[in-house]
Amino acid sequence: MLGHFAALYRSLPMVLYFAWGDTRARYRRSVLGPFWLVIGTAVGVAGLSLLWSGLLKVDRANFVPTMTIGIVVWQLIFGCVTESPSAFTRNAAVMRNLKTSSLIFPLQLLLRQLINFAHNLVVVVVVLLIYPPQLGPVQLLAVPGLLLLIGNLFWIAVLFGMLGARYRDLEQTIAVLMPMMFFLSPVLYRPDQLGVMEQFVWLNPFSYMIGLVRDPILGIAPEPFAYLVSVGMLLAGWTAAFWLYARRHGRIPFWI
Amino acid sequence: MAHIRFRNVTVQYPIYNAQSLSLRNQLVRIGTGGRLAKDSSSVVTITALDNVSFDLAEGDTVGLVGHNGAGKTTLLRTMAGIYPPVVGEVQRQGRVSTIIELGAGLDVELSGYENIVRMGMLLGSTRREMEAAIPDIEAFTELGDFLSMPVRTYSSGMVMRLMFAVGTAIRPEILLIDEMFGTGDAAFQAKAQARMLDLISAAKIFVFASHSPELIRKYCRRVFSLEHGTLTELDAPVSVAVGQPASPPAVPAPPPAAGVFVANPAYAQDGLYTLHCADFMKEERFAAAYAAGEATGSWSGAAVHWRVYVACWLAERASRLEGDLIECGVNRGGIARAIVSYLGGRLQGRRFFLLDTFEGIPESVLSEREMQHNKYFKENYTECHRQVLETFRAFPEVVVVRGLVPDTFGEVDSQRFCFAHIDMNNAASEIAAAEYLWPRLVTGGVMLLDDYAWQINVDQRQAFDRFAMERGMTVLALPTGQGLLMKS
Repeated sequence: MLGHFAALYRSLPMVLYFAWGDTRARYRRSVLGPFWLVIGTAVGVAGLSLLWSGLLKVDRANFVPTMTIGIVVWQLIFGCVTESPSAFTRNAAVMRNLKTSSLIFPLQLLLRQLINFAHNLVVVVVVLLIYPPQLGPVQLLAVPGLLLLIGNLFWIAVLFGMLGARYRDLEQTIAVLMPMMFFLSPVLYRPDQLGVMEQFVWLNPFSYMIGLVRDPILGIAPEPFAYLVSVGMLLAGWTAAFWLYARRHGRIPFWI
Repeated sequence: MAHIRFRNVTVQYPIYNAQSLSLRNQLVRIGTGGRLAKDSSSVVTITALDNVSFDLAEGDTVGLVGHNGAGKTTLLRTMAGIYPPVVGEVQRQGRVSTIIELGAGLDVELSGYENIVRMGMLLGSTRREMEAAIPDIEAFTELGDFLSMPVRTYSSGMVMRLMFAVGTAIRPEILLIDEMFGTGDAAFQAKAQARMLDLISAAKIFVFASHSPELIRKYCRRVFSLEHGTLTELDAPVSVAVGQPASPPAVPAPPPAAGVFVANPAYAQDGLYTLHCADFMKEERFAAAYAAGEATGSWSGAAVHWRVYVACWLAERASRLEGDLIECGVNRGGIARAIVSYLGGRLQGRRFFLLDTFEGIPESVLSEREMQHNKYFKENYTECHRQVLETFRAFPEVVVVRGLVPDTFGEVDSQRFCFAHIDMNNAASEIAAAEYLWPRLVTGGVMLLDDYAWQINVDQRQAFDRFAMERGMTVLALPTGQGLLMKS
C-alpha cells in the first residue's frame, strides 16, 4: 500500500494539472470562467438569505454567515460524494489502456472539488466582511477541521469509487439520497438551533464535517467529541477503503 | 535492460451482467472468445489468457496474431500491467507506452496541445518534458493550427496521428500497439512506419497486434499466435523480416572471438533498413550534392540519401558515355540539383533536360489506383516552375522544359541520351517516356525508375515489367525502391 501512496505522491503534479484542466474545460469559452461558480454560489446565498431570514425571522448577522459557510462546505461534500461512485468508471478509457496508479482518479475528483471550493471561498470572505465574526485564535481551528474534512472525503471517494465501479446502483442511490441529506445536515442551520432534535443530527457524519470547519470560522470552538468522532471516521474510513483497495485494486479495470 | 517476462500467466475476468446467461450463450455461439465458465453467482468468467509463458528481451519485435476475441488486447494490457494475472507472474522493466484504444487518455474538450501534455503525463512523463517535445510532435503530426483546437473536432485519422506522436515521443522502452495502427492516410502511414523503424532500431521491445500479415512481416521478428487464450510462438518469417539489429537472428551468431557483430543498423530511412555498409554517407562530394538537392525542398523533409546516391552514382558513370542527361518528373529539382552538383565539371559540353509540368500531375493521366495515392502526395506538388528556373540559373547545361510528357519531347533538342531518370508517379506518362527514350539511349546508358519497387506503385511496376519483357530483359529492383534498366 505504501508503494501506491508513493506513486500517488509522484503523480501529484499531474493530478493537479488534470483537475485544473477539468475546471478550465468546463468553463472554456465563457468570459468569466470558473467565476461563474462564484456567481452561482453568491446568487444562491443572497436569495436564501433573503428568503430564510424573512421566513424564519432570524437575526441576519448570525444566520447569513452560518448558512454561507454551510452551503460552501456542503457543495464540497456533495460534489465529492455524488461524483465518487463514478470516479473510476468515468475514467474507464484511461484505466483500460494506460498504466497509471488508479488512485489518481479519486484524488483528481477531490482536487477538482477543492478548486471549486477555493473559488467559492470568495463568497465566504465577502459575507464575513459584511457580517464580521469575532476574530481570535479559535479561527485557526478551521485548518485542522478542513484537513479532517479533506482526509475523510478522500477515503469516501476511494471506497465509493470502487463500490460504484462494481455495483452500478450505488451512483443512483447516492444521487437520490444526497438532496435529502442536505436537509438532514446542519447546512442552513446550526445543530443547537434544533433543540430536542439535536441528538439526531449528530448521527449524521456530515454534521461533524461541516461543524469542524464552520464553527471555528464563526468564532466558536467545536466540542472535543466532534474531533474524536471525525478522527475516528478518518481512521476507520482509511483502513476500510485502503484495505479494500490493496486487495481489489487490480480488479478495477475489469469492473469499469 | 527492458524486459517482459511471463511465467504461467492466466488472466481471467468476470463479466457482470444481469443477462449473463444469454450473454454467455451469445459468446459460445460466436465461438471466438476465450473459454467460458459459469461462476456460482451467475457471473460469467472469461479465461482470456491461459497459462502463458514467454520472455521478451531488448530488441524483440513481436507480432500478435489471432482472430477477434482471441486475447490479443488482453495480452497487451497484461504486458502493460493494466490487467493483473490471476495465476502466474508478470515481470516487467522499462518505460511502457501503450496505444491500445483510439482516443484513450485524451480529453476531447481540451486542445491538442493540452492533450499532448495530458497524455504524456499519463504515460509517465513530466509536464516540462512534454512541453519540450511539442515541436517534434507538431512536426510529426502536421496538424498545424488544429493543435490549438479541441480534440473533439478531430477526425479519427487526426486523433491517431496525435496519439501515435505522443506515444512515441516519450521514447518508450516498451511500445505496445493494438491493431488500430492501420488508420491514417498513406502519407502518415509512411511517416509512422519510419518512426516505428527508428524506435525498433533503438533496440527496445515492440509488440504489435495486427491482422495484417504484411505489417507483421515488416516489423516483427517473432510472431505469437493466440487462440482461445493459449499462446504459441510461430516460426518467425526471419527471411522476410525487418533486419533485427539487437539480438542475433536465426542464423547462429559468430563466436565472440570471431570479431564484430554489427549492433546497429547502418542505415534506416526511406523504407530501407540495413546493416550493410553505407560509407557513401561520409563522402564529402556526395554530402555537398545531397545538401544542394535538399535545399530545393523537393523531398518535403524526407531523408532519401541512398536513393539520391544511386542516382548520382549512375549519372556519374553514364556521363563517361556519349549523350545528354534527361529527367522526366522533376518537381522542385532535388535529385537533378544533387546530380548537377555531384557531376560538377563533368557536365560541361552536355545538356541535362528537366521535363515536368511543374504544377503537379494532371488527374487525366492517373489510373484509379494512382489517384488514391496521389490524393496524399498532391500537396507536395505545387507550382514551382520559377523556383526551378532560379535553382538552375547558374548552370547553362540545364534545360528546363515545361509541359506534359511525352508531348514536350518535341522541345527536347537531342536524340542521344546516356542517363534518363523517370519519376512521374504514374504509369501512363512513365511508359510513354520510356518508349520514347529507350531507342535514343546509347549503349551502356541507364534508365533509372524512381518509383518502380515501392510496394504501393503496383501500376508502374506492372507497366515496366511488361515494358522490360517486351525487350527481353527484366527490371532490377533496388532496395531503395528504385528500378534499374541498362541498355546493352
